[in-house]
Amino acid sequence: MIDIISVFSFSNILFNFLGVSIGIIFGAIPGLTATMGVALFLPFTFGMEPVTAFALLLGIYCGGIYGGSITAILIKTPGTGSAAATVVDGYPLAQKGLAFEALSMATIASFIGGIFSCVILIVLAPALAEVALKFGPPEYFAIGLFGLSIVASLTTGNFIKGIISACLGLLIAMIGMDPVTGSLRFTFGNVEMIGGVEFVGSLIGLFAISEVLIKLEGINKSKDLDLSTVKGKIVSRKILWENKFNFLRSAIIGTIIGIIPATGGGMAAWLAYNEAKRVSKHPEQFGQGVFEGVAAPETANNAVTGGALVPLLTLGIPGDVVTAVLMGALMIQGLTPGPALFRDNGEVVTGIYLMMILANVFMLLIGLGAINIFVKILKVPTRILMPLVLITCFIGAFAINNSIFDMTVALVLGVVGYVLIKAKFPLPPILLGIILEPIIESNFRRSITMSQGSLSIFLRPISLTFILISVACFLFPIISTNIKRYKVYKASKKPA
Amino acid sequence: MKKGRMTISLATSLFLFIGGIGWLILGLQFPLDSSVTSIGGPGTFPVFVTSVLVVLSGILSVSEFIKSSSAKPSGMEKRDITNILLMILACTLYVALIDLIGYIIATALLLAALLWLFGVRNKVAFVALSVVFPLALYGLFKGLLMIQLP
Repeated sequence: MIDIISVFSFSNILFNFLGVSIGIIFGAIPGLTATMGVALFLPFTFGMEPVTAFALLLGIYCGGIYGGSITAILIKTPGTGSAAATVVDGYPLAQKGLAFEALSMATIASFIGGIFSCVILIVLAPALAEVALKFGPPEYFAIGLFGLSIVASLTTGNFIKGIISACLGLLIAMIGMDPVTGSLRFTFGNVEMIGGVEFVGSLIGLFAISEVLIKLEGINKSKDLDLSTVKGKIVSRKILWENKFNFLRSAIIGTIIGIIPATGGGMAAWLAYNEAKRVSKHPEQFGQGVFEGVAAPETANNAVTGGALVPLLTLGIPGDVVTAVLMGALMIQGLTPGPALFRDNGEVVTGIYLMMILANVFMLLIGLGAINIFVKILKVPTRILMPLVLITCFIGAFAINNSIFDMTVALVLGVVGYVLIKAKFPLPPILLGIILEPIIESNFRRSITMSQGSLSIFLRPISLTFILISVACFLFPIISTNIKRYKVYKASKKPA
Repeated sequence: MKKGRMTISLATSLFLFIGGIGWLILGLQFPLDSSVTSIGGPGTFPVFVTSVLVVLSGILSVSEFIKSSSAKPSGMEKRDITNILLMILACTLYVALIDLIGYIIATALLLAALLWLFGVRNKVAFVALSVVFPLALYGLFKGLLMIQLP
């Protein structure tokens, strides 16, 4: 019998509240992200109980996704990519003197989206875990490949750079002991590399240290955030009721996007915004300051949070970049995602559900009641914040294994990440490559061994379906680019 | 053909191409076959992935070379490049020396260097942060979280 009362212990509630507060700060400050916040505080959870650890990290996750809306509305600068769509109508609302109403709409919408996705998570995850019991090595290989293919097809900008980034992630993950034969690969005789490249150190380097380097480069041109105290009242019940279908539609969009591996809040927010505009009776008003334009993206981006936990907990495939980082939390706690997690650690899973719900409640309370305190905190200058973040990165990287080598890995990958950002290579595919490589390689090799070398084992219905979708995802950018080029060519050939 | 400039994207693509070839050569040292099958050995995936990397980075290098003839300057000032290099140097020294001189001194020195690079010139903030923050982190990790620091 799962003891629900013990889940709501003082320490779990406290860390959840702290997590949401930290997440809101990280989400609100441009340049800091929910991903960075979770990565930075991940090492702090080393000595914690599993539920307490997730209370903190899920709080940062939910708060971080919501926090981006604060600066998006107040100063037209989204704190995170997930809040980019919120700027479009949020800032004009603030300019009309309705900043507090806009912020409260963002808060309530985020709460609704978050709670909706939590319900879906609670209902769907156990069912999917049961289905996953039928999965064998061919199915896990196909799902891993699918996760990687989504990354490739959805990389904005250069598709080739996305695949190259994914290849780099795969190669980094191959360093160390071969999972099937135990032979050493790419260790160059270094004893410290036998265990492979530490995951948490890698992501701290790639996502946090590289960002500090980017901030240093622009420090002389950057201005500190110019935020003034926000006054007003909460958005009216009439407006909330008018947006009921907007909330529901956006929550569904966000949850589905969250469930699809390797997507995220940014995509969900824009999809929901475009849908809200499309079905609106007054689409021409979008962009000039309408509450639907804030409600839709904010509901969707927080609905991603619960959705993204579904594939993570059931299959070990992260739903977005932040849940990719949460994989590290599972590893630190010695938990393996999949059906075994639900069977052997049911109390941890229940704890995760309840802490997600609690995080959304805290987010609502803080967003409606304490927004001006956070506005004050956001005024800490970047030039002071970034050095403190970097020191925390190094200590965090060290703390996982008490290893200077992990600090070295974090530094090296931080510099690599910085160079890749400057060269316009996306970083999330690297992280997903690191996570998915063990799943893809070991399950492929097991499948081949099971079938005595025959590739027909991958023709099983579930694995074949995912492999075909993966191929389509890899080919889609190439085909669509060429179709666009052909259309441009045809248009240029038309007589004037 | 107009002479191109060496952009960061072109340099990175070339580096990945050459590095990919090196990685491929290393990967070929591992057996491609397993005891049971002709593929599925420890070398299969490294060879496959590095081959994809080499091909794609080769294509990208050509594409970036063609684009480089019309590339604009990166906009990075000499001061920015110097600051970045100094920060990397400071962090490298920190990682190299932290075990020798201890966490508190090493971290205080690194923090002071970083605050300086980021342009903090207020003496009170400078000294206070360089001393207080490492001590606070030390207390948090060692005292509260029971995690040993160097």
